[in-house]
Amino acid sequence: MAERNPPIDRAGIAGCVLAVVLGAAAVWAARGFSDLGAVFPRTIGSLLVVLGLAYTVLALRRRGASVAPLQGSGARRLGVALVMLAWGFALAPLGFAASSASAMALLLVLANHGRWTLRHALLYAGSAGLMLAAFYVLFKHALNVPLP
Amino acid sequence: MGSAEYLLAALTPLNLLLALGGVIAGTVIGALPGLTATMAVAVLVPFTFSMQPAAALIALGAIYTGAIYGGAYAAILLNTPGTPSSIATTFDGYPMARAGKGDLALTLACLSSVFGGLVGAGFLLLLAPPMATVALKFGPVEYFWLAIFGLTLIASLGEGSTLKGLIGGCLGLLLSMVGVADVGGDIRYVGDYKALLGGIDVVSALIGLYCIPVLIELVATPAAHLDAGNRVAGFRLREAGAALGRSKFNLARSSVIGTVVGILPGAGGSIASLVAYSEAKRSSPRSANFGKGEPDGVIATESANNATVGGGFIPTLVLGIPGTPPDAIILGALLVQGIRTGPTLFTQQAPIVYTFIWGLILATVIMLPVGLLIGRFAFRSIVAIPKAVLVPCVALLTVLGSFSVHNNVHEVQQMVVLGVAAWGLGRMGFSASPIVLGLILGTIAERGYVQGHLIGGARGDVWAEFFARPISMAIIAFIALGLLWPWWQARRARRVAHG
Repeated sequence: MAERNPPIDRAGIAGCVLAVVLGAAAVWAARGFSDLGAVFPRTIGSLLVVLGLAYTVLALRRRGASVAPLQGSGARRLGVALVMLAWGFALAPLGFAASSASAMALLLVLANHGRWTLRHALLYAGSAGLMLAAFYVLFKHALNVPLP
Repeated sequence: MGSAEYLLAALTPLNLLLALGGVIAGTVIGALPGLTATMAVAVLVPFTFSMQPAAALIALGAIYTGAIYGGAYAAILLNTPGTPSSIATTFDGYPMARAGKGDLALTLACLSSVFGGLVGAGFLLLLAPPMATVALKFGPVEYFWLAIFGLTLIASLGEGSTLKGLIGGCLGLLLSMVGVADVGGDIRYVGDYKALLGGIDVVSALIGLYCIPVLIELVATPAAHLDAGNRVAGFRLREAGAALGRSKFNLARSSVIGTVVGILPGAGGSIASLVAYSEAKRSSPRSANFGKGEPDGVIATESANNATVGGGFIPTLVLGIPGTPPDAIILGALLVQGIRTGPTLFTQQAPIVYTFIWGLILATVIMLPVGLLIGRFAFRSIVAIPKAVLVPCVALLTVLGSFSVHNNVHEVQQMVVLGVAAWGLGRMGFSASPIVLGLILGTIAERGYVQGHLIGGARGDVWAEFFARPISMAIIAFIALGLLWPWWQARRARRVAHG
């Protein structure tokens, strides 16, 4: 039986507001393009605005589809996001080996929920280190990929 | 020489070894999240330069077919499609794995892939030249509508609201416009960041949009990544066989859809499995279970995407137009071998072509035992590996995978930024699939749209150009059906619920 008074999909509305803003910005920026280059951006930008507004109206009338609330650790999630972003931007200045070893070590800590013992630390770090070394040799020396 | 002689030529010890090695290498590379089928073919193609043409083609075809199948592992076990053609496999494959049926999903994927691959190779063997004319009937406007069809399919098939799916598709289309415009040469949405002049790389975006949100969610809870289920000895072949028996029409139909749609250069590989999935869902008596771990969904997508291997070779060999990115690399390898593609290839160089096609068929058959064994190993490994090791290793593969496409650090940055953004969008109810497909199909859609405008304008009737061509009208009808069907089904369900 359908819920009588489903919650308003506030997160969805926030996403649609973002879509409307992006669509409007895309249309506005297309003023500087040539006629040919502006056709598609204007069309898709306008469509984004229309669709975003349409969903917002539906959501305010409680006919949107909400996402289930988050379970688990928000801090760990944020940690992984930051580590991955830092890894991507540190790849060039620090080099592949140093940035990857650091990032993998941090991810290992974030992903482990169990008790830290010496055995676990050596096993996990050793496995990840072996994987890093193997792929480094494979890509850099066997496949001649110029890793930074 | 007749067919029997070509088959015997394909059965030499060297060709069999190349087929076996190619399938194993392709499956392993395709299975690793972050490493794609295109990469599998690209990194191994230099090894074929010193081979005879038929042997080189057999090796490349085996790698390609193994890699397309291998993409199912990451899709089923990690919810990260290895290639765009595996996107639809995540819809039901991953829920099956979460429910403790990951090994069954992998066995179904293997059997379906072999069947689909054989159907595709069969069409290539028997009907390549006449089927290539189908690709020639598609002009810019047909490609535009086909791209829109793919987007509306994904919007209506994916989880959540259709409107949100369409918004995601439009976001993907917007991302595809970053960089230098295909038609007109405008520099768009780059700002001061010159690294974006080349646009958003599709492979990096695919990796980031799928893999990064999975990594972020994996660390959040201590629960095991996958339910090992009740450990069943063997490959669950009896269960898989029963599922395939119940779904034999779905299997055959999806394989044909994959072959026919795979013939369309550029667009076929991405949307063939989606079209097959959509049709399977529409016609299945268990349609309500799709998206929740329905085996028919895995059967449809995996048979279709391996059928695109044979289908994609049709325009590649007959017209010299690559069907998919791996076909483009294989076409380059053919040129290095001195083979000229075209309709006369099947007559003037028949021994090479037909030996290759039989080799592809043999490689597909070899994929059955290889796939089952590797799949079993992959499932047990993923289930057994603790998250503390799994997460950094998968993260490493994503970085390597996105860097190795063009040896470009900026593409790694694109990958992580898009990935974190995808997680945020996921929390707002926008799934990654429409965004990725919008990015992939955006260039095709825009080129078709603008060229259609130019041609229609030159003819004095733009509307007729877009809406009066027979194939376009058929695709528009499918688009309308794809958009209205879920709404009509939901309305019917509400009526039934109200008695």
